[in-house]
Amino acid sequence: MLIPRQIQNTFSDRMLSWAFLLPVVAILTVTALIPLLYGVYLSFHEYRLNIPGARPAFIGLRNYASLFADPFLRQSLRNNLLFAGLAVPLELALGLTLAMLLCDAGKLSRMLTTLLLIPTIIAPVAAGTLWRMMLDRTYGVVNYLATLAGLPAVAWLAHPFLALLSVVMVDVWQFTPFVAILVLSAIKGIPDTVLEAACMDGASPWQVFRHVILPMISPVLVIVIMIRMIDAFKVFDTVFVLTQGGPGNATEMLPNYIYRQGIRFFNVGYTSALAVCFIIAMFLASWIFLHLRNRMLLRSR
Amino acid sequence: MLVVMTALAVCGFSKSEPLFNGRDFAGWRVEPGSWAIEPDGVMRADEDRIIRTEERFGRFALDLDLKFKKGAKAAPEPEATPVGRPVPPPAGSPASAPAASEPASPETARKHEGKTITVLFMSSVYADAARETARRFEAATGCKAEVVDFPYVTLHEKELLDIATDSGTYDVISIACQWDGEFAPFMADLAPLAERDQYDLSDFNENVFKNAGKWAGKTMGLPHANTPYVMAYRTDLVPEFPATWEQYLEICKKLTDKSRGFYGTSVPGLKEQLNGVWMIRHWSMGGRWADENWNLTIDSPETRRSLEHLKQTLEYADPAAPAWGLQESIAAFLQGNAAFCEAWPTLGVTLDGDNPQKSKIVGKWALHEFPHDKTGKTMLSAWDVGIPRGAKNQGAAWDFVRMYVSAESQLKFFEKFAILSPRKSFWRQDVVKNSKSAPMEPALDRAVVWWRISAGTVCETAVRDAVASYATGQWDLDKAVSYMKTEFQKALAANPPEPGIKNAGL
Repeated sequence: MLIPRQIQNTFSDRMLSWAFLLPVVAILTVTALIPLLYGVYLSFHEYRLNIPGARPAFIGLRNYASLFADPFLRQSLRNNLLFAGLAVPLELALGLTLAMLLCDAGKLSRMLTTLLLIPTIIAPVAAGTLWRMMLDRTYGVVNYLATLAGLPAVAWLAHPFLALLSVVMVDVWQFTPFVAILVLSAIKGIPDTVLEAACMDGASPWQVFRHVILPMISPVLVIVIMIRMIDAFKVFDTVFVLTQGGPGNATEMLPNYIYRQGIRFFNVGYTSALAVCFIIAMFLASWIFLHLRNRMLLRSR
Repeated sequence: MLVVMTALAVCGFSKSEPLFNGRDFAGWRVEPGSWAIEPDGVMRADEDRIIRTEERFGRFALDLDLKFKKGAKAAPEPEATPVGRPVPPPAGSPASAPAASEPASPETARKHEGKTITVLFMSSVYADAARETARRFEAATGCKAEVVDFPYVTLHEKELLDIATDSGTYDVISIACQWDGEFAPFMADLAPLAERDQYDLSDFNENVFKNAGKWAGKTMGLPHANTPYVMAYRTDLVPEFPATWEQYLEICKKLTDKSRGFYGTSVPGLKEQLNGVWMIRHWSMGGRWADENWNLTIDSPETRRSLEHLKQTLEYADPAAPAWGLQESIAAFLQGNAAFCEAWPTLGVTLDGDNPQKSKIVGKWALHEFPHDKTGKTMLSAWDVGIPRGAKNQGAAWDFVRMYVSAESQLKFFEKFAILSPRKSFWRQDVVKNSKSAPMEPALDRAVVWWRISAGTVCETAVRDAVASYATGQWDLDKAVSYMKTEFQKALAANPPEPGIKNAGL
């Protein structure tokens, strides 16, 4: 017979907690922390893997200084910011709309929710390949439907701005359902009594949404925005398959640029500096979003 | 496919003897389960399988009776692969191709029994040829060859990552010649092996071998495929091929009819291909990247003229061209939607141009060198196949390399995959001389490749970015040229050429 024991903050309890945490900490240390620290170390060195017998040579902050002088990095960053600035709000707006449409408990809603997951479970490489074929100017189904509607065929991937829009569109198609599922879970967590009370007070559906639902799910929305924003700066596969960063440099994103420096040029030092800056930027962005979320939670209490 | 064989007979100079007794496989070496004997006494294989005699023959004539079942699409391909020292051709006979690449002596046949090597080629006909070779290689040596392939866009990093770390994942790799300088330190020198086995290297075209396989006194690979960059064009629409780039533009302009979806030219617009079509313009107009001492000359009137010309050319190409890879560009030409095609013809046009199932321009196309303009220089695409120094099975790898580049294999690859060989004897074969690929031979001696030094990859990437960004209107001319110059300077400073290496190319 199990006798429940009240957990106290004794030394042995603390030791037991650490004993359970230790394997995870060990694995994370080996797989994440050590490579990260090695990357930071390399970022202060000049090191090119394609030179036989090369060894890291300390050069201080020169790699970091080079970041500011790199025009292609600025272009990639600009593209990535534009991509994130377009894709994330669209995914949020569409995802929220979808979630509101699916929030009743009917069988049809549950079935549609399952179907909605299909784009999300397709690998980004597969999605990129699929859309590359669909967006083909001559043989693609998108232009076929457009011409049926009397519109001219469009070279989606050949025009710089349209190519960026195409990348945004593919990302929105793939991850809006993910946003919708998360938001739907948050909506379903709102107590029915709160909604009933609002309706009894004479609030219109829009007012219920604006003043009851939205504030109550806003902490979740912040997390969703944070996740999608970070993912937007990690987009690689879709771009690689769909446009390879082209036409020209119109869809070259930060991860593609880092890949080029590291894997194509084998410029390990500079790539490490890029990666370190990237991690710091994402860490700061996450901290801001989490801080915002915590303030919202406090306010709602 | 069902093809059956009946009696086989070998005729020597004075007698003939049957090879097959109609009952069993006595005298034959067969993979279990691959061939069977029918009740009516014929040998049958359901798929493309090898069967070989136990006995070895000198000069012989082979009588083969074949029985085709309905639906069979091919016949067996009898192969005579000499083992041992090559038999010199009889006096008065046409000059024979150099000796085959089989293991050096009967005693060492199947010396690699039970081993496995991994070979890496570009995803294309080259990998298909490697698979075909792997089958023969296994039958001859007992060694299994696993063929891995990657598309060009990722091949460089896959190969360099393996060889720079000496991981030994691959025993044989096919290298694009422009990577030779970068890869050479990590590759085995094949010259001592060729000398040891008395392997004749003199049959390789000197210009090709100099640019693909040899680097700084080392033979890091043997050339196995080469194509001087030429164009395909419609013989029914272009009676006289243009001699200058301006004439070329005029013809493109005249023939373009956007309302019909017909364009003067078909251009592969993806970055890694567009830079190639720019380079040809640049070099044929007299441009150079640097002088022989690596002093940059990229900022020149020729650079600007060639960039402007390329941008104008795109006005007479399909609007989707900037997003096209090679296959889309070739497909547009084969579907009859363009008068010229600037994509590498050996990767589709020569193979399928006269195939009515894949082409709407059967009999209406030909190949020609790009407009000669000032210098007539064109780009050389050449691949050499070599052995990483970290390869685990260097002996088997060397035998595979020799088989892949042998004269017999190379002719077979041409017939089956339209791959052009760098062997001089290859171009003397009637089947090649009378083919549509024949115009490419003279260009082989004038074709050049861009920088093969370690900094070459960075410089070529800078060219890609600048050319594609300018051609699609994102950068102006000054920015594109200035970017190339700056990136070249940085690349040469970070990774200078080895002492003594001159810029022999452009």
